[in-house]
Amino acid sequence: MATKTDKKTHYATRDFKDAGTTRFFERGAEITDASDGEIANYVAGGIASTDKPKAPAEAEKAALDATLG
Amino acid sequence: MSSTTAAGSKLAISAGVPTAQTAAAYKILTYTTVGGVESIGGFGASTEVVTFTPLDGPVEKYKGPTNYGQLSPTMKVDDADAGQALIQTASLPTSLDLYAIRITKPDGTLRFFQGRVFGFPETIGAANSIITAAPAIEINTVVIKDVAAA
Repeated sequence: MATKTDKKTHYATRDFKDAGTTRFFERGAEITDASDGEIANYVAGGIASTDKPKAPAEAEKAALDATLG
Repeated sequence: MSSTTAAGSKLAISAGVPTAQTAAAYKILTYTTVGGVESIGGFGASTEVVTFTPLDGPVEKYKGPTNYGQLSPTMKVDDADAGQALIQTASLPTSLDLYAIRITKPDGTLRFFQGRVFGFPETIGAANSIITAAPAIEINTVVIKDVAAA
């Protein structure tokens, strides 16, 4: 049985690449095999979040719903 | 270090800051490499010259306040680059934080310092040129030199 940890899952908020590690993350992809420091930098740069970004169509619908009420 | 070209030099940034102004403290931070850098540019402290001109003698010169200087690297704009994303966030008027900067020379020697980013101006030139940016990084600490390999 896997041990439960408090480490939160982070997701790419947009497509991005890391020139140092040469890794590429697609929008919405879970960020795995990255150190806490790397993730902290991604979060600070606004390209990673614990909130999984909505799919484009879903985000568009949510924006439309918000506009139309 | 013998003379060398700049080829292979790297610029990296960390959202964290060291607990001390030592190479060891800077080295334990995690840095994100900035991609697409064309040149890193000059950096280093300079001390203001304060002068006094006596009535009966030559101008006397004293050392005034020290300015740790600034860094203005040029890079091709790439919104998908993680390092550039962090610099762009740091450049926002609402971002007051210090960031740790690491410069790696081709032989692996390192330079560390902390700074704030005051802008990320882009340059759109002629049709046969790449769109570039030259972030304005103002250095707030002494530049720490580390001769050990990265």
